[in-house]
Parts: sequence; structure tokens; C-alpha cells
Amino acid sequence: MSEIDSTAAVNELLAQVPPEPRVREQLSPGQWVKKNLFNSKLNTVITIVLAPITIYLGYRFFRFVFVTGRWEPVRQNLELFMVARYPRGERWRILTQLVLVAGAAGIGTGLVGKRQRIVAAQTGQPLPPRSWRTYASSYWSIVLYVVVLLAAFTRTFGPLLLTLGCITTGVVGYLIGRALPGAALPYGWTLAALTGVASFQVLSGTGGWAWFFTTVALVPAVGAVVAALPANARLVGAGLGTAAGLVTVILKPGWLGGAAIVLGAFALFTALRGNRVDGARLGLLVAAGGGVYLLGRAIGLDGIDWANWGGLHLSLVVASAAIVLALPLGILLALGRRSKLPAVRVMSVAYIEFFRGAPLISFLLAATFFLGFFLGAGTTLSQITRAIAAITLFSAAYVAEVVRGGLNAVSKGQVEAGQALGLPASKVTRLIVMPQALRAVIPAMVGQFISLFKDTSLLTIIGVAEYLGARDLVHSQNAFRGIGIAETLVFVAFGYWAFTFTMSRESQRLERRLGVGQR
Amino acid sequence: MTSIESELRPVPRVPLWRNERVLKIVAQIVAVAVVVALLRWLIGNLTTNLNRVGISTDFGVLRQSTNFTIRDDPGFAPNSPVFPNMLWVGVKNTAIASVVGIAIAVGLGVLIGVGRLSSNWLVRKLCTVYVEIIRNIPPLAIIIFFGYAVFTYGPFPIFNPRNPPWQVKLPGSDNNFLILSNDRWAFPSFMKDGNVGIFWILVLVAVAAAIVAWKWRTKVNVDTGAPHHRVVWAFGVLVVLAVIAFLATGVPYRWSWPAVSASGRTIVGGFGTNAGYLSITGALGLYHASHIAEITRGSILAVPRGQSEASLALALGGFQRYRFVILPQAAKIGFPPIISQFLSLTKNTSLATVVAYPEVTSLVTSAIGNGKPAVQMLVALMAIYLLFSFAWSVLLNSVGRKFKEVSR
Repeated sequence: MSEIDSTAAVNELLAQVPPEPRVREQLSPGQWVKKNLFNSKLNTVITIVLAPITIYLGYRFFRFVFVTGRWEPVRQNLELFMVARYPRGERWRILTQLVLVAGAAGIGTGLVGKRQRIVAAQTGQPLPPRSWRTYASSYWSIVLYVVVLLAAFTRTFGPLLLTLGCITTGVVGYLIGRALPGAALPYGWTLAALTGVASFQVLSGTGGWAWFFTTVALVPAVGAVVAALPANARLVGAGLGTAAGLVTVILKPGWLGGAAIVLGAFALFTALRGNRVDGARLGLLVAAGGGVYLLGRAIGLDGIDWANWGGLHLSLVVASAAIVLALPLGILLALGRRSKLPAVRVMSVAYIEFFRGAPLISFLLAATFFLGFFLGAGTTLSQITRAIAAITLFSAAYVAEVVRGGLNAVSKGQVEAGQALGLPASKVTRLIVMPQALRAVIPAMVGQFISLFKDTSLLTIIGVAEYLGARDLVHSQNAFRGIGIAETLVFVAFGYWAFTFTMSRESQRLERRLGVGQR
Repeated sequence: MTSIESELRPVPRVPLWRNERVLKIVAQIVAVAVVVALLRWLIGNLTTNLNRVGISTDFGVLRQSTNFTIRDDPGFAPNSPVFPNMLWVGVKNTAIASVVGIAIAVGLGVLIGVGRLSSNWLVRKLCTVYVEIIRNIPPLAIIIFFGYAVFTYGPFPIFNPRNPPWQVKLPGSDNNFLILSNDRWAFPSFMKDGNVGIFWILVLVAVAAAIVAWKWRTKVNVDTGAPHHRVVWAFGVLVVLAVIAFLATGVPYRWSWPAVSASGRTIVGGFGTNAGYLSITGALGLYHASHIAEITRGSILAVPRGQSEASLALALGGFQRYRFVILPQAAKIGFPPIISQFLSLTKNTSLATVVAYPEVTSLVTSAIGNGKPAVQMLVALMAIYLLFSFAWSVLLNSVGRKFKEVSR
């Protein structure tokens, strides 16, 4: 909770510390011991006192892990910890999702590497140094977690096959991303995003807003298509939007069809007024959105009820959903807080301070007890929807503070340069300030995500069986009542630690690479 | 002529829809109107829906009785447990847990943070391992670990008449120094015995004398340049006078040793605490210590290296270098984030509901579980936490201002 403050603050402090030149001294073991353990009287005393204690604690820990620990509750209930009571007949969804996510991550990583190489070739700057050491120092904890799971707690070969499948799709995705030619990069981004959307689709079905996310995923590809089109074809693209809007409104009258036709008409209007690129982009997106929506309705897949979700899987989904939803809200609040309009500023500050002032648990309780009453009569929300809503509103306030830090870091000269070019305020913010601000706060945002991931453990208190809460299911079984309490907790803590440690290492690496705070 | 006139004519008035001042006002009115409309819609829905299912939306329920008693709180009169009383008990417990947790976190955290910069490899590695493990585990998991793995199902004996708790005696005496069981511990404490009022008045006099001694030593130092030793002087005066007062008023406090009662169910004497309190303070202390350690380390590293080199050039020793050069500057850097840790710890005490420590959140949750309307209860709860946050941010701002005055 809100430890982001300290993590971000510390990272900021440490970013200002000039890196010490690393001199590798060649010391004999004797010299090393003298220099590092017995270099003064006080240190000698400390070493002599601490060394036996450390050895004893290490011995006790070793015995706990390998000898005395009763790991049966974990081994028998690994499924509960991973997915809780997700229906057995639908497990294939989670498996497919994992494989697809690995593929999307692979494509994304490949693309980032590809782009770095292109940029390096264009600017003539050297590539950021990378070696197996840096990757190992970032990812060893999560690898350790997976290896321990596979080696000690699984009873079938299924998980091993799944892991191998994920690794395979990840590598294939990476190779695809790397192999794409420079001009095809936007299509690559669309491919990665579509894989991500598809993975969510597999899980929750086409119900809801899946068509919307699919359309958003298409944005980079549409941009690239429009850029490649000749001018007249762009006009056709804008017209296509209007046509698609018309079709949608005929097949699906209502606000959605109405919005489609208004947007399509606006696209055509923009194109006719002279801005053919923007018009064509918007038109093609409207056409794509309408098409995806109608197609999705035609093929339809049933979703899985939220109430059945759980385990580590739910923790990750809730944290990801909350950060994705909180980000736009947080950006708006941060802009509001810096607005020149006093009323907007006061309202943003009130929101931020209200949500930062009270603990998350009070908002989770409020969401549990009466979130549904805020909406129209007859609305029923699952416990998990409520929790995501509460966590989103809560973390939007923290995201806003993170983004505000980034906005403050953008120098005033940037804004003035934008104004000197005659850009309107909205474009100055969108094109000049925001990209720099967001880039500067990527590490702090990762920190926020880490704290959000840890916060999902509070869902236990409102009775959701996420990763920590799955323990309650385990210990409510007759066989494990009051048995292995410490062991299950250590196992759960190990999982949280593996994920958050990896993320924090990765964010430190990003920070060094982006050179945040070194300008 | 006409052309000059036309040039001198004032610029035509900007139409209203392009006038920036008007636009700004309109934008604000629209923004406020949208937010107010949204809030009205939400709250209107809330009241209609609650009334429809027959739940009271009247804040008068806050004056009703709570229908339950609070564990381990004799001050909470069971015959008239009205809601404000209950909230007050909860606020007190939240404050106690926060203050004790903060004390643990600061003590341990600063030690570990300095330890991470130690020249001793073992100390450095132990502190790093501590920070990197504890910081990356949710505090709730640590609290549950204390509450269930250490206490409820832990190694300590269950407290009942057939199974007495562990009683650690003082060597050569029959008094219990510690009583340990799986749901309550007891420590020795003081008991009033005699004229307490006069003793405390004399202690106040001793404090005044200590202040005078402090001022005097400072003046001596300023006038003559002699070493002031004002901490030793002031502290010495305070302790000596306080001991004299203690003896002169006829030893107004005596030790109170904890003992298991005749029924074998409760502890009499001493200072008894329950597992919930120990879990929440211990767990939050350990958890936030890892964050404070990082802040401490970051602040010390953020002091420019030139400062350290300058003090070496002045031939200051290691301790002097830390005491007079590095730590004052590091404190200036580290205070604001450390105080935001205090705020965060105060909010995290709300997690005590899982170990049944009666702080304000778990009491409010119990009240809701006892059929009290949730809306009013949670609004009251949020208001209380906002007050706590407000108190901390007032402190933060005053400290920040003080440091701003110092820094140049």
C-alpha cells in the first residue's frame, strides 16, 4: 500500500548517485576475509557474534525447507493456489491463455529489440549493453519459482508440458518480432496486441467489450496502412467508415450504431476538409470496430463467470486490469491537478487526497457492501468486479501522483517551444509533454504495479480466494486443518516475492537504460 | 485619414465563444456541473436503492448501541457500548498499534539501512537479504504469518486451566518475568503505590532544570568555546533529580509482576497483550522497516561525496563524520519519505482485522457484521482515516518547511 512513495522516492534518490567505478580487485581469500570481515575491532566483534547466528538460522531454514516442513498441503492443493475453483472442464482456457500471453510477450520483446537496433543504426549510437548476466539478475527469482513448482509440487507432467509450451511460443514470438522488417513494425505491434486480446478472449469470451480492445489493438496497423495509401485511396478509407457506421446502425440500432455513424461521418468530414490522413485513420478504425463487433456477435463464445476465478491467476489478472484501467484515469487526474482552472484543480486534488487518505481495505469493504447500490436498480456485480472497481479507483490516485512527478520533470522550455510553434494547448500536452513525462515515470509506474500486485492480497479479507486467500480453502479441508500453516504461507510469500522481485529488478534495469534522472 | 483612423481603432472585441476568460469560466462551470450531476446521480441511486430494500440511510444510527463487546477492553463499558465509544476505542487502538509499529520500524529500519552500507560483508549481505525479501512480500501475508503461524498454531502453549502457559521466572525469585501463550503474552509493568501526583510535578521541575542546564551549557560554549556536552549535562540533571524525586515521594511506583489467575484462565498483574496486538505491531514494524532501511540507505548515498571528502580533509573521525556532516544532510533528504511511511503504516494497521486486534477497521467490520448499516459505518471509518492522514501531512509539511528554511 502506497509504499510506492518510498520506492519511487528511493529510486529517485539513488538515480542521483553517480555510479561508482567498478574496480575488480584481485584478492586472495585470506586478504578478502581480512578486508571484508575483520577490518576493524568493531567489525571483528560483529563478525564473531553474527556468524554463528547466521549459520544457525541458515541451518534452521534448511531443515525447515528440506526436513521438518510439512509441504503436503501445498503439494496436494497446487491447483487451488494457482487457479482456485476454476471449473475443470474450462481449464483449457487458462492454458491457452498462458501460451498466448507468452507468445505476445515474445513478439513484444522481439519488436523492442528490433526497434532498438533500427534506432541505433539511424543515430549511430551503440546498442545498450546486454548480457546473460543482466537477464539472469532480473529473472532468476521467477525462474527459481517455476523450477521449484515443477520440481517439488507437481504430481503430473501437465505443468511441465505447459511450461515448455509457453517457452516455445515465447521463443517463436520473439523470432517473429525480430525477423520483421523495419517497415512492418506497426503490424508487429498489432500482432502482439491482438495475441494479448485473443488471450483475454479465450478466457472471458466475446461478451463485453472485447471488440473494443480488438479495435484498439488494430490502431498501429491501421496507421501504417493509411501512411502507405495514395491520397485518393485515403478518401475512400474515410468513406468506408461512414459506410460501416451505416451498416452497424442498421444491424444494431442504439447508441453503439449511432456512435459508429457519427464517428464515420466525422471521419469523412475531416478527410473532405483536407486532413485525409486523420480522416482515413478514423474511418478505417470505425470500419474495423464495426466489423469486429458484428463478427464477434456472429461467432460468440460463452464467458467464464468471474465468481469462479481465483488463485495466483486471479491476482495477476486483477493487478493487470486495475493498472490498465487506472492509468488513463490517473493521467486525467494528474492533468487536472496541474490545470489552470481552479475548479478542476480542486476537484482533482479532492479525489486524489480522498483515495490516498484512507486505506484500500475501507474502499474494498465499501465496494463489497454497497457499490451495487450506486448504480441503477437491479444491477448485480460479482465480488471480483467490485474489487477491481475499488482497486482501480484507489490506484488511480497513486498513478496520478506518479504521473504528476513526470509532468513536473518536463522542463518548461519544452512547453514554451511547443507554444512558439503555434501548437494549441491540447497538442502541446499530447505531443510534447505527455510522451516525455510518461517515459520518465516508467520505473515509478512499475513500482506502482508492484505495490498493486501486493495489494491484491487484500481481496482475502473480502472473501475472494486469490493467491493468499486460496490458503483458506486449503486449510478448510479436514486433512489440513491447522496443519502446515507456516508452510503454505511461506509458499505464498515465495510466489509474491518471485514476481515482485523480478519486476523491481526489471524496473531498475529499465531505469538505468532510460537514464531517468541523469539529465 | 481614414486609413490611420482605422489603424487606431481598437481591436474588434473577441466574440464571447473565443474569449479566453469566458471560456475558462464556462469550462469550470461545465466541469463542476458534470461532477455534481454524477455525484447526485450516484448518491440518489444509493439512497433510493437502500430505502427500497429497507436499510436506513440516517446517520442517527451512529448514536445507537453496538450490541457487542470488545475483547480485552475493560474501559469499554459493556452495558452502554454506543457507537462513538466503540470508535474511540478503535481509534485509540489504531494509534497505539501505529506508534509502536513506527517505533519498531524506525529503530530496525535505520539500523538495517546503515547496515547495508557497512564495510562488514556479513552485515551488508544480511541486511540486503532482509530488505529484498521482506519488501517484496505483501504485509498481509506477514501479519497472517505472525497471527497464525507464530501465535495461534505456533510453538506457544494454548492457554487453559489444564495447560498453563510458559512462565519465565526471574532467576532467584518467584516473580514471572514473562508469560507466553499462543494468544496472549504478559510483561512486567509498574503499579501505582503512593503519591503519584507530587512525583510527576517534581519530574516536571526536573525537566525544567534540565532545560536550564542545556541553555547554560550552550551559552558557555558560545561564550568561551569550551565543549558544551549539553546532552550529558541535561540528561544527567534530569535523571538525578528524577531519582531523588522518586525516592523522596516514597517510591510511588512498584513493579507489577504478571501471574496466572487462580482460575487458570486469565492473567493478573503486569502488562498483558494479546496475539493480535503483537502480530500487527511486529509484522508492520518488520515490513515498514524494510522500506525505511531503503530510504535511509538512499538518503545517505544521496549526500554528495564531496561532503564526506571535505570532512576527511578536516580530519574528522568516522563517528564525527557521520554525526556532524553526513547524517544531518541525509536526515534532511530522508525525512519526508520516512514520514510518508508513517502514514502508510497507520493505514496498514487496518489489516489487523485478520488477527482480530480491535482497531477501528475491525470494530467497524464487526459492527457491520452485527447488522449496522454499512454506508454510515464506512463513511465514519474513512473520515477517521482521513483525519489520521491529515495529522501526518500537517507534520510532514511543518517538517518540510523547517528543512526548507535550513537548506540554501
